[in-house]
Amino acid sequence: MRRFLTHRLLALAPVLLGVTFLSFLLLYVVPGDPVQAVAGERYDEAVLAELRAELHLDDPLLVRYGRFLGGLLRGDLGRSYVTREPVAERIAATFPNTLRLALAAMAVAVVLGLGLGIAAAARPGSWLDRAAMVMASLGISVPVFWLGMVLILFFSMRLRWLPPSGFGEGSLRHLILPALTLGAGSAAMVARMTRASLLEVLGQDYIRTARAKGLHPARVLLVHALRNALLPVVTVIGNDFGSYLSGSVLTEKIFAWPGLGRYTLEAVAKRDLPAIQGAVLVMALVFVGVNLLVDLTYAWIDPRTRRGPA
Amino acid sequence: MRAIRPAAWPALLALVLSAACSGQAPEDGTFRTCVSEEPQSLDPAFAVDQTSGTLVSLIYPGLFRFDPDGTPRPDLAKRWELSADGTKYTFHLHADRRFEDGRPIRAADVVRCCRRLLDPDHPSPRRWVLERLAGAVEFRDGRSDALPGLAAPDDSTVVLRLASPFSPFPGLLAMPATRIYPACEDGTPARAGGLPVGGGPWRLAEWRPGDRFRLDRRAPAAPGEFTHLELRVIPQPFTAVAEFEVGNLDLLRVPLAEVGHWLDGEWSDRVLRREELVVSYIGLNVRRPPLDDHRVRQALNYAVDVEALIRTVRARAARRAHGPVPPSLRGPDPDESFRYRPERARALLAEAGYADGFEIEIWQKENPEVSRLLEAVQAYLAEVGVRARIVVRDWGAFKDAVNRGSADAFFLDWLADYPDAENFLVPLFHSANQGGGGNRVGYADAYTDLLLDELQGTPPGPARRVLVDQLNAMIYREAPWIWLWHPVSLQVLRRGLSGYEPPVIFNGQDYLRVRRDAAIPDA
Repeated sequence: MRRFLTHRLLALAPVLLGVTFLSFLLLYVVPGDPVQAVAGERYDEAVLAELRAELHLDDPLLVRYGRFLGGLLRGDLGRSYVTREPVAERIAATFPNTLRLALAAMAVAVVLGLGLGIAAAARPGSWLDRAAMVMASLGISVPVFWLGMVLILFFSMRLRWLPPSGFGEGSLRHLILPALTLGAGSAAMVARMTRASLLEVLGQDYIRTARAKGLHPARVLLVHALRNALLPVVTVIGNDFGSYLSGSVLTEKIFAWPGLGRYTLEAVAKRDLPAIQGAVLVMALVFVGVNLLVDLTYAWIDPRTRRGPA
Repeated sequence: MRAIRPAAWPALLALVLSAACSGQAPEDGTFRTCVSEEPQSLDPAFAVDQTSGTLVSLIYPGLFRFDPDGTPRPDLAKRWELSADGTKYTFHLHADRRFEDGRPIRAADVVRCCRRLLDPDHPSPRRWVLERLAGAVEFRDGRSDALPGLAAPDDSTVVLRLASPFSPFPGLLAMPATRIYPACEDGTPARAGGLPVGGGPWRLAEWRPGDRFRLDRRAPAAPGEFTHLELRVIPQPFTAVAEFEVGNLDLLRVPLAEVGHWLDGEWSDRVLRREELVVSYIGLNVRRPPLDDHRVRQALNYAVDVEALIRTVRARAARRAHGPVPPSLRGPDPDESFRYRPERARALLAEAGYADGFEIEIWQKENPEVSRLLEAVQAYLAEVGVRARIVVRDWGAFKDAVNRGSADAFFLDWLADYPDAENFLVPLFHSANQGGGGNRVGYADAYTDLLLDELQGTPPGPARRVLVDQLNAMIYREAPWIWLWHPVSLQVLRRGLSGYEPPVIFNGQDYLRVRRDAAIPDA
């Protein structure tokens, strides 16, 4: 296990280096001039040149990338071209909000998805199974944007139960609608995967043996079958959790949620390179970290994966 | 203990949730409204977007401040004089105005902030605002340390001397760029606890990035007036509508897609209309054939039924543009008008040698409302044989292409910096301002330049009005744009509140006179 961990952590450096360089390169070649966002709608060309020089935008690509890496080694993500604020400060302010939303969305996905999936697999072909799978299909097909608006319309404007948007004072009621919106798609996917995987496992010999021993059907399902059926489900949860932690742009925008996704989107629109670089780095770190956690969870669920291929 | 029956759980949940969210904002003396995006900067020298400009104007004082109707009113100055030759402005400051840190606001503070705006070591994109001061260009270019156009003879007197007369100058001194602030050693605005230290009508008390700004009133409040101001950051118009409907906002800017609902619904008596100092247009790049031929540009104007677009795409919330200058800043409309006449458009195209039409790219930034408009324009142009392709880009790529002149045509709005016809003529059509200066269509005409130069030095009066009308009519006929409209803003003020007047210019409302009328029940 230690060797596995060391290997994965060592692989982190080239991954992050590659991600930052690729994003640097992409932003270098796409059209759009960051100083135009700084300059606004009316400026003289001379000030544009001065701003470009001040922000070192005239330097060659590799020099700028080297400067970024140098700052990174000192723990400095630089200052935003547009706001002139330290990028790290803004990421530190927005990432906890994104983490909060991602955790809540995953809770929705796990509770709803596993619940529906197990219920459906327990009685395949029943009305419960069909209802669960219809809900899962809806969850996968409904666009986040539409679902968010419908939830606001129903729970906020019609019933007046929940606030339509914002972070509030960090209260739970502000979290419910965005978490439902964001988690619905994952819940649907988890439900389908859980059902399919459980049905496959339930047909195996060791399950027949467990039943023949006279174990309670619920124990067979939840203890003997579920653990082995969880591997593909964990993959889905891990991937979705990683992407939620990178910011969920649409959900954050609909619910005016002050998260990393909105911050990154605004930075991209203004070609605010230090902000984009900082956000991309954090997203890559998070993604790699979550994948590592998923692998460790695999090892916990299925000890065979610790040994690797024979 | 008896268990709660499962059937009662939904009702219990509803009770808990509804108790947590009553749907009505508490009456805690806070006026709540929203902006659609984060401010770029709260440093006046870099406040180039609307949200920044709005906040900066609330937090910091200036020599002038705009009224909702766009008139610059003295702010820090208790009185001011203009010399007979129209070049020397003398301001006498109030002795009792102070920054938030308690320090009196002195003439030296005004001089320091104005110098920083022009300082070549801190290139501000807004330095053009003060470039008319005597010696400003030399100072800006680093050729001189002296700035003779700016002086503080004593603590309470500021003298600004212009290189040549410019009658809209008080408007420039009401812009966000010319706000006055206490500074750190490097000249940037001072901060305390991460928040700017101001001296304006409101103090920024809390800033949660991406979420909200909370401001406390500094000026004394009469009974019913608000003591706090909350600006939520809500990017999605639908969400802002929902927040207003449930009572979490007191003021709503009606999204275009919902105009009908608000004008005909239960809030119709609370809708405030205001023609803004804005012009919307489709710029035609006059440097590129066939748009370099004025007959082709005129044909495009005749081909598009702007009145129909105002009725449909704009839901009647606009006034047709007859030239770049909004009607409130000029005289009557030009005599000749580009009414919808497709047969005239075809004739003009044939006369210019394009009887079979031509292909053109119309660029837009990502925005569904603009897409709806351009799709309609595309259909109108197709009727006269012009095959238009709509190019949608994100704001960064769009702006880059348009400023470099690589787009055939493009949709844009121009918002007034200060309420004067000059602001709709010189930046947009003087050949010296091509590209980022405002003249994005590359319009260049020596006679127009001559008249524009003359306009800048002409004092207010009949001669200036004649010149404005002449320029407006002349440019209108040359058709460097497809003339669209001046938008009318629709805002809804919650029942029980009064004293709010929609501003014609984005930073023209200080919210100090908005009040709650105690006797009228809230809806």
